[in-house]
Amino acid sequence: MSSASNKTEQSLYAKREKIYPREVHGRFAFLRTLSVIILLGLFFILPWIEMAGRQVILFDLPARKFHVFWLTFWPQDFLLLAFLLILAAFTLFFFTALAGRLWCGYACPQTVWTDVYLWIERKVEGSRIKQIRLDKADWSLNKILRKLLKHFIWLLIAGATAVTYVSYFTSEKALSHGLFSFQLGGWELFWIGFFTLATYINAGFMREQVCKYMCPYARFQSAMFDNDTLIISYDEKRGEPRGSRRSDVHTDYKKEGLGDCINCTMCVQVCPTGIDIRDGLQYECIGCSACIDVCDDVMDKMSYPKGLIRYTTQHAVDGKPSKILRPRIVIYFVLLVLFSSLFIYSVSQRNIIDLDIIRDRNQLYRETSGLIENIYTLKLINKDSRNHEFNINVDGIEDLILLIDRDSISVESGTVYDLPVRVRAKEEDLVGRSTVIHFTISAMDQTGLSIKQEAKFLGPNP
Amino acid sequence: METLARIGSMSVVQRVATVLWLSFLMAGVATGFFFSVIDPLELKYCVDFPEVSRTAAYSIGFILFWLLTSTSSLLAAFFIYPTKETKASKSQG
Repeated sequence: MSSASNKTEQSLYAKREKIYPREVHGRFAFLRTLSVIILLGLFFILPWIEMAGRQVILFDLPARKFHVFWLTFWPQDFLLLAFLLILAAFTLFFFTALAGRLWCGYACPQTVWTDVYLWIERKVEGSRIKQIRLDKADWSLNKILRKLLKHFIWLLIAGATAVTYVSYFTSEKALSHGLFSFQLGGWELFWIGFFTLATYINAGFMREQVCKYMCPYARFQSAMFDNDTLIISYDEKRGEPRGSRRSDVHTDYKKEGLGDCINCTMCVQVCPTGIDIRDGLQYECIGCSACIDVCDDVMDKMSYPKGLIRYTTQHAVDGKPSKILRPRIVIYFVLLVLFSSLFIYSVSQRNIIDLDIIRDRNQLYRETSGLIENIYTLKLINKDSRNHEFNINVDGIEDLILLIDRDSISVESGTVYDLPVRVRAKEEDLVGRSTVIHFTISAMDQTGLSIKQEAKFLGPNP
Repeated sequence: METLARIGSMSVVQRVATVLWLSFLMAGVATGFFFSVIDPLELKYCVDFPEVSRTAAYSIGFILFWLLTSTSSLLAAFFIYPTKETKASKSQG
């Protein structure tokens, strides 16, 4: 085996070094904690909030309806959902071009849950140094208990996360009732188990590897970067040459040929992805700004000005002016506005009633009392927020007879009504084996609210 | 060759994640598309489909899609490597 393939073989099984990020305090750490609390709060509280008797956000998969506040989306509205996804993507592009990886550092669930898990790890196992020592130490009762406690709390949080997550898809009430009375359906339990495991593994073990290896956004976000995008950067001109110094010489360290960086490696110790920000912009950097906070502290202690590591732009680092308004930003913004308007327009213009026609599959047609009869199932869909009373008409063939067992059909708000109907026509009026007819449903309680759909009336070969 | 060397330097986690995670995403997209057009409860009218709840049908549908997409990813990950003979002939040539 050649040395090259040997090397490959080794790196294939290279063990990932566990990263122990040091705890950080500071402006940005505060913002991050705030963001974690708000986002987690929203995530856990939203399923419990009801509006007009139902969960405000409920992707009711069993009923094939998505409720988002006052809007209800049906499978027919799939295009709207696609719009919404495009909208979300452009929002992400816009903010990435403008302010870099804000999403990764402050809002991504991977970051948020990892932060929570790290916090628990610190509470149970102690500071970074203590964690490293504990992991190196032989197994003792203390170590076993601490590890057990940590994993137990991790699993509890993962379980709560999974139950909450699943409750966005089946109602929280039904879910918590089923959970506590041990009467959940097998599939609900399966998905709760699945997401518990996913949360536990992703936030407990995978951590920065998710960002490095699994996240598509981390890979392509650099395409949205330019020299005016906000990045976290180490001021090389100011910091280099780095080096440790005696505490009493910090007034004339420049004479000794040293920069402002005292090489304390705090920025490396706090980094959740284990990189050295001083090596320049790296795709592993999730923009969490922990290094800014910790470096500012060090600068304060040394009585140097803050901001050796700071939010800046490539242009600013190179001593050129930064521009906020630039073609990239304008284009993303225009697209964002365009898709938002399109989305709002489509939502306001969508049909609040709908009609699906399904032909009876057992029989193409039958002859009865000298007439040809076709059977259909009409699906009357009422997406409106109130109930409607409909009547039904059919046309397209002369003397078409519509047979329904009642005059009008009342369809409750947000429901589908399956109505079997029979339609009869004279054989001589048919134009061929298949004749196009139209069903029209009109609301009797609201003029102008009607919808017309095409169907085929089948008969014998002429 | 450079790309291959880079793939060779991927950790096991990265390989497994690449195969499972990306196929998970695509299976999700496929499931979304498929079941937004087709109501599993109406499948029983068309084909011989067992009587199951929608939740069960979605779940089974998703798992089947995932099986399909991950098989495809796995095969791609496997076939991206040249065979031993190709490696040998490349180093000779």
